[in-house]
Amino acid sequence: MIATRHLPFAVFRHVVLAAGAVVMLAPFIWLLSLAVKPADEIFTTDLRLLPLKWDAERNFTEAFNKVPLHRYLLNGVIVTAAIFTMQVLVALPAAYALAKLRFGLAKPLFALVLLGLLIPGHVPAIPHYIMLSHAGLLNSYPALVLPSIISVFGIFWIRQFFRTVPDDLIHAARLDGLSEFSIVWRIMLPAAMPALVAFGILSVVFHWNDYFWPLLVVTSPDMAMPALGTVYLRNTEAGTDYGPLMAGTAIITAPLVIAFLFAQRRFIEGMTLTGLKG
Amino acid sequence: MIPAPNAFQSGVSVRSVSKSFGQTRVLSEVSLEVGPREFLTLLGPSGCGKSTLLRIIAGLDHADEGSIALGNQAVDGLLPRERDVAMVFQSYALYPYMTVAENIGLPLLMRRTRSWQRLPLIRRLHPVARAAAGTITRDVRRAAEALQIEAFLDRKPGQLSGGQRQRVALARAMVRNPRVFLMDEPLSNLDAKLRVAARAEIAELHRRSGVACIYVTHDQVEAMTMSDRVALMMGGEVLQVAPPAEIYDRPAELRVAEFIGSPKINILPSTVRSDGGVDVPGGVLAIRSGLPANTAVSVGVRPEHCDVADGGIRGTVRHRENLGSDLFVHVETVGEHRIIARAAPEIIDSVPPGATVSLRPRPDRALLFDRAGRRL
Amino acid sequence: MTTTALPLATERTRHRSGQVRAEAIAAYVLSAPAMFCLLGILILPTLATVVLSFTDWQFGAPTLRWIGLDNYAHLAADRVFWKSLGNTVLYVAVVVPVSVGLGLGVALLIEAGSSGRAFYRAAYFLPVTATLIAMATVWEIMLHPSIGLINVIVDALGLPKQNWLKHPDWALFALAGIGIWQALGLNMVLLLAGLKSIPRDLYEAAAIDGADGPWTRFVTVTLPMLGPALSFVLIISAIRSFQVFDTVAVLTEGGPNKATEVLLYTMYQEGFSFFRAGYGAAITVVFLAFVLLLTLVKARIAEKRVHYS
Repeated sequence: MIATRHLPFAVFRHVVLAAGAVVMLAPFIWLLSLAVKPADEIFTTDLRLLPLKWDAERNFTEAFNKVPLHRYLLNGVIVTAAIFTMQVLVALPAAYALAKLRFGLAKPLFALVLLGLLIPGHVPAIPHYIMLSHAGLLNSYPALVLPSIISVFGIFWIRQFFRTVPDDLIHAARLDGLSEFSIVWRIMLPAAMPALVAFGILSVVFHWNDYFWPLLVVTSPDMAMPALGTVYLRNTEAGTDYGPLMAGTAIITAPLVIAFLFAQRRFIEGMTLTGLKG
Repeated sequence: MIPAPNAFQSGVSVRSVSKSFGQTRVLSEVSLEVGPREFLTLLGPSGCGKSTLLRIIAGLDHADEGSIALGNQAVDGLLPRERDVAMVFQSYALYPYMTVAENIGLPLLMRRTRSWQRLPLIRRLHPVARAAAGTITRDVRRAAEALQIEAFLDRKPGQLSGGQRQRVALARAMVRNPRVFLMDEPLSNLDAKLRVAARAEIAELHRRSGVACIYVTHDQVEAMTMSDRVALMMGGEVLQVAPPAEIYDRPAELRVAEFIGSPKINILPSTVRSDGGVDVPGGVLAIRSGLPANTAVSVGVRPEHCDVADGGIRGTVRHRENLGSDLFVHVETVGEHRIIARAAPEIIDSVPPGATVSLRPRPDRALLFDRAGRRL
Repeated sequence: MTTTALPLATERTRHRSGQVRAEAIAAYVLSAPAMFCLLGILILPTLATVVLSFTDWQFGAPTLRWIGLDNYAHLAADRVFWKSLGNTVLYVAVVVPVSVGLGLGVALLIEAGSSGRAFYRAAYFLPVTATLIAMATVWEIMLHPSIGLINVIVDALGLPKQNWLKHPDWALFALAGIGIWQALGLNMVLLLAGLKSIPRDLYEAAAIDGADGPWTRFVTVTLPMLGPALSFVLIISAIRSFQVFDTVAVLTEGGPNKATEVLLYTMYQEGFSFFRAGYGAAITVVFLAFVLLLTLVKARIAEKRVHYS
């Protein structure tokens, strides 16, 4: 770039970005700091990052004793994995059809997708609740998974990505003897990997952290998702014993944060490749 | 000569094929016969419909009207994969996340195994699938050796140079002995030097394969050097189908003459004289046209058939191009007509810009076209 | 051989090429599961919500009665609903411009240099991946009137300390602050993606044409090219902030004195705490109407720029 070689600008850039980053990261740092402090050090006004007396072990054991944290994490893994798998199975073929195949209803169906894009997940919540309750499925994995197996955003996102795949690649595959179904799984799925990583992160993050829907359909702690779990943890102590609460919060938050840090390069790549070219 | 047993089974027939995209007519009533072992080039400017025709033959596009036959079999109802044709794309269309070996082997895998035999575990255990895997590896290696890419079999296309990718694309087409090769500008993404080498190589591969090849290009040099015959297309029509030399020397019409040859053929608006000669701007051509006097014609003379010599058409030198082996002199004659003449580079000092020179077209090589552009 | 060709040609015209038919069949089969789910899970239940909003149905009730617009008339007379609607609009009006503006600023600054990119990207995006419900508890401690980090800083700056989440004037803004913290990173990443799709040579061309100051470059190249991405980000973040629920449910429960009552929370209370499904559905419909309205406004603005074809 042209005007940015100057040293003063570089300094300015780092100062501003670093200051902002401190604000963004402050809650995480504070979280870790509180999670290892004993109660009496939490209830003071002196700012101290590291505790005088480390109390991490007690805080973390207490957190696990009070509520089944491991169960929440396991539920989180099972439900988000199931949702993401179903979303891909449903969205990928449709995205291919909408992006690359010529058929009469292509336009109306895509219009339907765009319409679906406008409906927030909370809107059909009451009918979903009624249906699941009639089916006797409340407080179960299906109740947590079923309403989310269709991701309109996923269809839209993958379709936009597929439009950047050259037509000739598909033509070559047809001449090489692949059926349209083989093309979806053999050619398009591997090609869509960057977009799927980005979509996967967004999907898993959303459902891991979702509070609204589990709050409605989960009635017993063993079915709680991570976000709901932290609230159970909160309620056990009425928010007074902050140490274990922070330890539990750290445990619930950590998997996604760590996973993101590992996948971040591919995530950014996926976002960029798909682009927002419209 | 006795033809090989299957010699007549592999030609391509295109029978009055028409195609429109919306209001635009891309192909109108195109008919073409390609011989069983022939190398036929579809040559034409971009947008002339040549790529569309190739895609219709492959089955990737469908014709609005007309029919395609491979050998004696009409294939219009068949899917691309049922037509047994192989195609090399301009962009090569290699699968980016597969290795070179997987790219070349995919068409064989899809033909030699059934879908359930390709499932992860069965692929390794089922005897038929394993036997197929063995033959595929062997055939992939053979094709790779023919194109000298056996060293790259484990790499991904992204790790290869343009020339290497092009060879992989050729190998993928060759590996399964198709009924016909279709090539869509396969050399246009290569640099000039590689292109010359690849021309010879493709021609050689075609000779060895013994099947028909339809080659699409807008590059007349490729068309002239590789083909048995050239089909020149313009505006969705085939103007002429003929061997390269005939297309060059005896173009069927003015548009063909103008498209082939570089620099372009000189076209002079002329009138037939009562003595049978022709009046051209700035002079007279002694041709025996046999046409009635005062007929308006266009005279076409290629630069190499136009000598810089006394006693011809007079004009002023406007520009010179010295290619080392040839010198092209651009001369402006009466009525601001430009004529390009080829001369020996040695005479460059005698034709400075602004100088008056005389050009003598060779009457025996001049081409006459009527008002409608047909050659007389 | 060629004698059989002519009748063939006309016959072929009638039953089109196999590829066209195969493609259409494949397209319907491939998109069928998605369309089935789209209708069954999203569109029809949404219509059911609308229908439900015209009834007096309560969860578990054996019967329901068609009461026309009664639920809406009730809403129009309900002070809590108006308060809730006003709060939601105010929340969106604060969170969207600030989080998009800061997101754009951060994206531009990150792209303007080459060092530290990955670190900054990760740092700003981290709150998006964090469990908001869990981090809300951390924010609660940081906003705590006596031991909170925020008040310690505010005090050090010589400003009056507040009980942020319990003060009627401040509570909504405190939640908006958390909302901005959480939304900024996603906006930044989406805008970074937009920035990266701007061809480099446009900047070079602009520089040669004399537009080489940072501000001129931003106005002549970046902003126009970023238009579609920016409008996409605006609408996404507006819709997301319209759905504010988690922080309200955990930190303030709509209080103090309805100061943080927002639409989705009111809907949750009416529908699932008081089991008035019909009434809750009516609030949902209003909520949906606002989201659609936002989208319509955005579509008007961006009509010429974005084409999904």
